[in-house]
Amino acid sequence: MKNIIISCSLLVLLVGCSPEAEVIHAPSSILESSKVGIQAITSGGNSFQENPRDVTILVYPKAVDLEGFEFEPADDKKEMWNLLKNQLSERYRSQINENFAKNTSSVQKVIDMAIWINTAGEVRDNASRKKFPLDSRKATLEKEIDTLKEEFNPKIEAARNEHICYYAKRPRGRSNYACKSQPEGEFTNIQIPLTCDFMNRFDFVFATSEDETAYANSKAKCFDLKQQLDSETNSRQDELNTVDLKREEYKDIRDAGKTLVLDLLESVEAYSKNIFVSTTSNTEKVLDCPGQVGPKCNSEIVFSNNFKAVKEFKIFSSFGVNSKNTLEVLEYSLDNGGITDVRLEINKYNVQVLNFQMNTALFTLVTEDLSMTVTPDMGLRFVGKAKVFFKNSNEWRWTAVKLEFDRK
Amino acid sequence: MKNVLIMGLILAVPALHAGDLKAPFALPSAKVLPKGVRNLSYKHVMASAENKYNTAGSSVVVADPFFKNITFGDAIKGKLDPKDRGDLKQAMLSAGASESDIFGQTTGQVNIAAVAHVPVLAWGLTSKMTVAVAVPIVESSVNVSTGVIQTNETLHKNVKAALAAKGVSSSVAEFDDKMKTPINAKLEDYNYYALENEHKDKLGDIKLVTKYLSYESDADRIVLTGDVTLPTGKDANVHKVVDVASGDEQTDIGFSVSYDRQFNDTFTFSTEVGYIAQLKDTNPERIPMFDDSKVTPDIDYSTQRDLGDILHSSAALKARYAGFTASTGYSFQYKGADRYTGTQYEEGRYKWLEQDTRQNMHSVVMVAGFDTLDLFRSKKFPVPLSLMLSHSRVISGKNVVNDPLTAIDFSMFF
Repeated sequence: MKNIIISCSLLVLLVGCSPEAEVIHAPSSILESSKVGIQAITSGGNSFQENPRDVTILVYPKAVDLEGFEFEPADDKKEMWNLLKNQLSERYRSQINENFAKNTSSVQKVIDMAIWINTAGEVRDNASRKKFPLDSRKATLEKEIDTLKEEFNPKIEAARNEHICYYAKRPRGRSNYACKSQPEGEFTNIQIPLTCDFMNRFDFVFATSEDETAYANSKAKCFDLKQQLDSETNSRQDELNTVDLKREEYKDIRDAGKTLVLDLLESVEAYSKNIFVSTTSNTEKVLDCPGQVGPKCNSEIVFSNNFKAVKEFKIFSSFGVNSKNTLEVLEYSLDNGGITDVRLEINKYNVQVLNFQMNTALFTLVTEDLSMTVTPDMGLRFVGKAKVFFKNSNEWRWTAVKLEFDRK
Repeated sequence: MKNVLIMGLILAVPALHAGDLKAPFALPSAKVLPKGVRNLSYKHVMASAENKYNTAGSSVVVADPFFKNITFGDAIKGKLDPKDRGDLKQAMLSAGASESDIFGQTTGQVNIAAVAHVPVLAWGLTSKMTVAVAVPIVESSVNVSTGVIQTNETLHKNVKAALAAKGVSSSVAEFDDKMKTPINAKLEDYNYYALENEHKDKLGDIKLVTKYLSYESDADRIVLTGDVTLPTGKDANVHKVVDVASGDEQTDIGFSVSYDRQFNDTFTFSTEVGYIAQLKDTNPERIPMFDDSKVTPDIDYSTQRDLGDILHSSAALKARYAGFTASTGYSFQYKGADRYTGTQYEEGRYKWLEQDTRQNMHSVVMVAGFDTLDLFRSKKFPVPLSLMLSHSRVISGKNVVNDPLTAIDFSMFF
């Protein structure tokens, strides 16, 4: 009996044993640079234009939109495509598909479409980064030239006007004027020198040698001031001409980025008949007001309380070009319910973001955290993605949204 | 009464699936109970799963699938939405990188300890036939940890710079965040449950056994055994990447022949050969996205599954003297490849489930113990009891856990 009791006790002990796996820690090593949290650059009291510089709303196609879709740039767009591709390195170009062939899988076409849209956006941004400083430089140079002119021209004019020519008869052709310094007899007509050079066409008959010397001094002063002005402005004007050429070059690259995306997505619209492109009024292209030709309506977004709230949100947009249904330019604002649920908040990654809902007759656009950044080159930007939910079906599409503002 | 235990140390991490081979903890025997005698036993099986033999037969840690280079190519392939794949590939191009560039390596460790409590009731219906039922309860403890070793600082910086240039600060922060815990981030993306330590008790697969003594002489015995394993246990949860299964949720039908040659009162040689058919069933399965994808978001709840059948054979030499037993044996098991079919995803993706499912295992078992049968017969002990301790070691194999297994078997006859 004793043994039975011992055996049973042993059994109870065994039943009571619970398995316990050893507590463990897998090896880990995080790079120092990854330990620093990434935050949006905050506004820091900067003030920005209320009219956006640019607004982008582009719908990404899904595989179902691209079944059997094929695309090749139209002849008149090829130059733009080549211009954009020339901005990419050979290594970059070699890793992206340039053709959308009919028999390519629609999933691959979605991937390629996303690559091209992102690439075009990046090339456009890079061109903007180069163009915007040139815009500033242009404005500075123009202002400096104006300032110099404002400073020198009155002095030049004063020097010119020190001696008025009273003449009797207007000379023929480029002949000189016979002038008197005071009206006398037939010498009653007045000629003011239009330029310093014009002073050389005045042949005065002065009463005294002092008057003659005074006129020579005025002429010399005029030429001296003119030379000083030219010396100061010519170098600036040369730089301005160079800046203009460069600006034009980067503008063309920016336009190429936009053209490429529109070329692709408008083709997808023509094929699938869904909406993929939009145009929104902004300072780069102010649209006609809804239903009117002539009066312009610019979009406007006003932030308050140091970017803690949105006071005004009004955009004028049209949607679709080749799609089955299109929306003409309409106002979407907080006032008319076209924009709702606007929130400026900090998301889970500690990044300041903007969210809103845009309600149109054909779809509802719901943003998913548009990241806010402020950089010296690009100003204030809200960039991210959204979902567009079409009202005539249960379909939705990813959408790229970008709102950009210049500094005041 | 061997092989009555069905305990699955099943990792959903690929290479170890439900219905896998397990190390035996008992030796073959061609014995049946005398008519009218009943045997109530309790088997206490302790196992762990930290190491396994891979397809090449090399021993690796069970967490081996967690050790993986994080390449741009894999990151792109792992994105569910083709638009996201395009976005990421463009970021890669923008960073001047290529698909083979490596960010670092994921790491992981999985420790599993399990105990199966198996009460078995056997009854000698006739002098030749014994029936038995085994009801296992599987108690398990799983500790899991994952990490990352980030190596390519330049690549990290370039990618973050490329993302930052787009103005999407959230993407930069998200990239940083996911790169710190890449495995958990991927599991979250794919709707797996978060990895966490776990302790649980589950009913295992109940097994019904019939043994028939087909031949007996003074020295030789042959016993035919038929068994059915019922799907009462729980397979690995399809939402967990690491899980301990208490069964495989499908029915097995087994048949075996055992032969004992008794040389004298002390020594017996036993051998056995058998076959277990694992019947086809429908089971929820994660369908791989590509050839070597370790995790996938796609679940087909109606996957047609046909686990590979099992062939097993074993031999043992037993010595018993004055109630003391000391035995040793060898066991070989082979399981054919599993077969998966379904209609929800492309046919080829189901085939990727079949990779590394063909298994074999060579193991040795040592048993020592004491019983009171002789004492009981001579009326020196009131109850016939036995207490056995066994220890198994897997000596080689392919695609099987190779941790040792220890069991205690307490039996009482009445």
